[in-house]
Amino acid sequence: MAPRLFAVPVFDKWLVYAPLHRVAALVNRAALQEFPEELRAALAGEPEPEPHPRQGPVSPQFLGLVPTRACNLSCAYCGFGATPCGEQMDPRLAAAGVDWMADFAARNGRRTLDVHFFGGEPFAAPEVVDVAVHRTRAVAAEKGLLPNLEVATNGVYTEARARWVGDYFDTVVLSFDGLRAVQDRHRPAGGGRGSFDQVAGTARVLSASPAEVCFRVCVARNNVEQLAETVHWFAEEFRPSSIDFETLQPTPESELAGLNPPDPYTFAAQFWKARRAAREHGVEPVYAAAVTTEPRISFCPVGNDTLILHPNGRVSACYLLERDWQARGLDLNLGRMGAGGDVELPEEDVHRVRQLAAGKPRCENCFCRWSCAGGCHVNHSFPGCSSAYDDFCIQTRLITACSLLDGLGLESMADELALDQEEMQRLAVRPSDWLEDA
Amino acid sequence: MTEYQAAEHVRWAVEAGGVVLIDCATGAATTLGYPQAAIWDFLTRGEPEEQICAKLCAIASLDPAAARALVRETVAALRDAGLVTRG
Repeated sequence: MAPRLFAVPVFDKWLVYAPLHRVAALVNRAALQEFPEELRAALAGEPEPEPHPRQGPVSPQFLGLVPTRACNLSCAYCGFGATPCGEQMDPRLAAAGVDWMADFAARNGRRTLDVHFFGGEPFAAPEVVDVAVHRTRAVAAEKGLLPNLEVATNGVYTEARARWVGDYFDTVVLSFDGLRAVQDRHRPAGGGRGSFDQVAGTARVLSASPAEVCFRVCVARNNVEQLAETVHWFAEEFRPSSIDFETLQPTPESELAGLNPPDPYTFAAQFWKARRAAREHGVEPVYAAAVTTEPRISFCPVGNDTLILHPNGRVSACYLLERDWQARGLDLNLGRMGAGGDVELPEEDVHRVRQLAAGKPRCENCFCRWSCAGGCHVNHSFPGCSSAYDDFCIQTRLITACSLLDGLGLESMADELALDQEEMQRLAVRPSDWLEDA
Repeated sequence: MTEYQAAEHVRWAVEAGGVVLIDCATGAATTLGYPQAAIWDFLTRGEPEEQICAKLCAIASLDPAAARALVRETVAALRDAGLVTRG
């Protein structure tokens, strides 16, 4: 099979990328016509198969639990419409979901029982979390599995609860947008109070716990220039293993609050600067759409058979709100579970959701097609979306190119690229990255 | 049931399959598997018996009477071992 090769311009050279061979090289124009021996040798082997939608029986990576959609914060950009009170999952339903996942994991020779918690804020339904965590640990012990618990949380609770979280969870994804002014503007508590002190307190407790701590930073126009400074402060004050940067997804609420997404070129440049700062501290900087470790056709739970169990027993592939998918013409429901242990996951629904991961016309000619994989299916690569690159594509293409250069040991060239707006634009907006179009 | 708390000389660590209690006075270690490990967690957080029993029903698939019996039996054993004291 002929190698699937991309080539993008970087100053006076070309970055050649063969994702299915996991090979990258920087060559001059002459070498684009005739590859040097070393590159030909690297591409001579059989490539990995192109990633395709999954087939066969449903095979979730993890069970996602949404104990409630309620939340005790009033984040300025949140479009979930969360309030402090909201429907809570019946603890017996959470237990039934965990049992299903444990049976699946044991039957399929898995070593771990993976359960992730999403919200709202999961700890707005503390009894549900208590039951689900202990049920996971109990049933994992019974079946010879290792429990692997992860939670996405806002960190606004008592110190005692924070200690409990650090003891009982393996991974904690803490939403923490940065320094006081940013955190309090982005993520206020009710009544206009800031959440900074409490979240920083939780971050300290978690940093001293056995849990792996990941900070998730929402990047908007007002904090994009502070990313490196934020990283230095996080690394000096706390002990995160990684810092995940996500650009603001505009909502009516964010617009009302005067918060806007950052310019994609500025974000790419500032992310790159922050990445260097993080590495200096031994912290892993993450921009999830630019991870090139393994070819994929979906960068999120959708298409990966993940089962997200909601308070009403609905099982879906995505933790976003149902009304948001429906507005995009999507149906991401996979079935239902009941508190009595009854589970319905119709094959046709699983198949329908898996197929969403394929067929993203905008990605056809992009060198990131098997790493970014089109980003979020609801907010970015929904059916009928524009075929033109948008801000998410631009920042992803730039960060991916810089990462590939860095992987080649060309860190200073990656730094130069991230500082050169004109050069970034040349790379970012090319309609086709296929080698034959170079 | 009177509320109980971990005895002053007891420290504990959460492990994959339960919790390990260390009696710092004697150096003795006691491992609690499930569902007793959940009862220990709730006891040390100062939760009342009623609340512990309600959660235990879902954690261990027990009816309320069985859950209450298990909680009382576990607390008695911990008390007899000097691992919890009256709050």
